Amino acid sequence: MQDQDKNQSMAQVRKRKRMAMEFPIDLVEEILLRVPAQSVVRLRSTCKPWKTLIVDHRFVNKHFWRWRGKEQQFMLVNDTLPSSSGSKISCVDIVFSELKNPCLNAEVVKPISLWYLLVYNVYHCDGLLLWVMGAGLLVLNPLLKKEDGSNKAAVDENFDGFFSLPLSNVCLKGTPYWLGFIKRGSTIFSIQSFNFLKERFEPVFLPSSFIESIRWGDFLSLGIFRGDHLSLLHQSKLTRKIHFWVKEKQHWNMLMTVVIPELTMFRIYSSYFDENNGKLVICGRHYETGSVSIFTAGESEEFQKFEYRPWMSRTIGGCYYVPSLLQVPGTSR
Amino acid sequence: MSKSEKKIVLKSLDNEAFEVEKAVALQSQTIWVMCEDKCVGNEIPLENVTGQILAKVIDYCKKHAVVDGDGDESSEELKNWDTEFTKNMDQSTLFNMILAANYLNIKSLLNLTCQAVADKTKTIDEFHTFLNIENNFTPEEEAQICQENLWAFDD
Repeated sequence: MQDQDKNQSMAQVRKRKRMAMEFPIDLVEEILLRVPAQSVVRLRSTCKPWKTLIVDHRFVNKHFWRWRGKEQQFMLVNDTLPSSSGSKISCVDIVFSELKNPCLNAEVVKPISLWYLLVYNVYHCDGLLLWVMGAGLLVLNPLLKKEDGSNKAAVDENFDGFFSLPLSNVCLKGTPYWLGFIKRGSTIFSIQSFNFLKERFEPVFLPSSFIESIRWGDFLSLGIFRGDHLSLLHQSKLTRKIHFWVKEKQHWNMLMTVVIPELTMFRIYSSYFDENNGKLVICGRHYETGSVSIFTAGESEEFQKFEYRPWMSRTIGGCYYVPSLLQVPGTSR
Repeated sequence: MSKSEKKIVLKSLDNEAFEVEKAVALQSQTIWVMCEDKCVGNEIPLENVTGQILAKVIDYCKKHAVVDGDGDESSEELKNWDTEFTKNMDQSTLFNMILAANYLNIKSLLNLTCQAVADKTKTIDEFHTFLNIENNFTPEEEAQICQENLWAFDD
């Protein structure tokens, strides 16, 4: 009887072996495109054909475009504590899979070559991160252990159009955008992009009615919607309503308006739109206590607050981030 | 259209015959092309699909077919049905469903089954079992990849 079982299981193994031979790599690709980047990266060691597929430029891009705007987005929080000489960069996300009770998940991102780390600012562009540090710039993909330290920062002395430092900036498909107030006779609200081909700043079209609705003291933040649209979060100082605008071609559409009464107590610094749940995820810091919280809000006027860090820290900043398999330019596979 | 034209017979690898509405079967691009070309009669032999799997594929197609304005299922209901459909499938069934969906060229079913595998299978070991892949790395290569993986989001 036991022998029979054994024979059967051997036959099953043989059958499966035969099936494995027949499972084409393009179907493996179909499956892996649906696996989040964090898991795909670990699957490189499955077998050689998989590794070849996973590092393939075409697959990497396909995977990135599939996952942008999906729930695999994170808030990257740069946290410099007064007592330490280094920054702590954490990846914070809202786990929506428990729909009734989403929770906060934080992981620390630690690059290999830097034990001492003072990061002034973090930026995200198409799956890669740029860290601005005292010693220079670092481009990295935390998932792939790839980084490129660079001091080749180009400082543009003409960057004086803004009334003060830009309020917010993002990078979309390699083009940087800044938002702020510029002086054109009077002080007006403007979004400027930098055209690397022509090496000059260019204003982004904004309807005049839109510009006029924005007042000094309003909260404004740029973002990326679905990976390929510029978006703008605008909280009016008067009404306290938060409007979420998305630019489609030459038009700005107001996608949603949410109200989070508590947010008037917060200075907001990054946000993203979770497509799967139709919710805005907003990260903010309390003006007085310095506590950092993450809010999620939808059209239904309901919102949830997750406290991330309850105490005062010296500096804090952040951006939103989509994990990707993209190589840092100039590094080998 | 006569009644016989509205029905079509699908024959599996193990010679099991299934009579289905044409609108149900035509969700398969492969069958659609065969019918367009009129290269087959009313009986279509499907040499890559077993009867057990074909029965499941037909279940799916019946649910998703819009027959004579009969398709008044809400999208929410359909989504729940899809979830239930793949939920209790064992790995070997799921594996064969992907192959069948690919062969029959039913995009939505391929999407559903691939997504189910992606959701259910998390670790390398699970993928190894699922596809029964042989690890053909040398120990040195494997160690190097493991080292690279260690860094990804470690505390």
